[in-house]
Amino acid sequence: MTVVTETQTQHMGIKVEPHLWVDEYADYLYNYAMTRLSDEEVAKDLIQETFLSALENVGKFEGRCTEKTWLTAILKHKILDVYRSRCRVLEAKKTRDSHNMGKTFFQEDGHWNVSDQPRPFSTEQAGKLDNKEFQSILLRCMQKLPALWMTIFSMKFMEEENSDNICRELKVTAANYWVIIHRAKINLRACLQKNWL
Amino acid sequence: MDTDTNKKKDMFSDCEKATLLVEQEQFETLSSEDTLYMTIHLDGCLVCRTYRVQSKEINNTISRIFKNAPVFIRLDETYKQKLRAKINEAVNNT
Repeated sequence: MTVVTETQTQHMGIKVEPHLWVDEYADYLYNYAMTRLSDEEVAKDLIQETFLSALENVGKFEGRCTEKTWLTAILKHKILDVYRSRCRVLEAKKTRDSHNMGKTFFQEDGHWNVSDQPRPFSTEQAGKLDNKEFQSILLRCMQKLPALWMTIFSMKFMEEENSDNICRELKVTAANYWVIIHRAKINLRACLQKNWL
Repeated sequence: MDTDTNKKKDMFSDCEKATLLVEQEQFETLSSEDTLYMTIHLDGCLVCRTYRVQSKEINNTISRIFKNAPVFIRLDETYKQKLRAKINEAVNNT
């Protein structure tokens, strides 16, 4: 048994138990990061950084929330930093992502291409939208999106960020921003139709 | 018939704009002009109505995944051991 398994850190009467963090929170935090970043290595690094950063700042934990909520908040902060750095790189490189909108789903007059038209989910399939298989395919489809789209789209669902903040941070104009969200969603839905329906 | 006229986008034909508005309406209030445009288009377009239903379902699912962070994948034990060792080291250096 290692020393750390018996270690508890105590301050202001609040007990934190770093020796339990890996067993109790590592998988949860890893999935939290993977759904938002779609990058295994970055997600793993962030988990380690989160734990070490938490340890360094354990004196600031006042126990107003649970250890899990506190660790998740630290991780979320680090994920937003990754988004910002990704955007800086994308902005600097002016990658194809920001200009190439990919496959065209619409005809010249704006109508859907016949082959790309959304088909209704059957009642049975619609009932399965909650299940893990559907969610897992959805995440795989999200991971196929270009990096800029994935970043902008994911930020949309991060609880604290509203679209104005995201636009400002990513230096993407509001019009272009909605075009990207729209393209990301159209591709995501098409991927689901192909892989799930 | 004039072919160019047939290719012109308008509120009845422009599924691309209507679906963009469908995305926008889920996060912010549309202008009254855009709301009118979308309402008129959706009324006559079954395909875009289907898109709208599915778009909302996808957003709801993503929100749920982001909120609940269900565990789909587990870290390998080797990496967990490495993490434990790092934490151990940091605690002992504190």
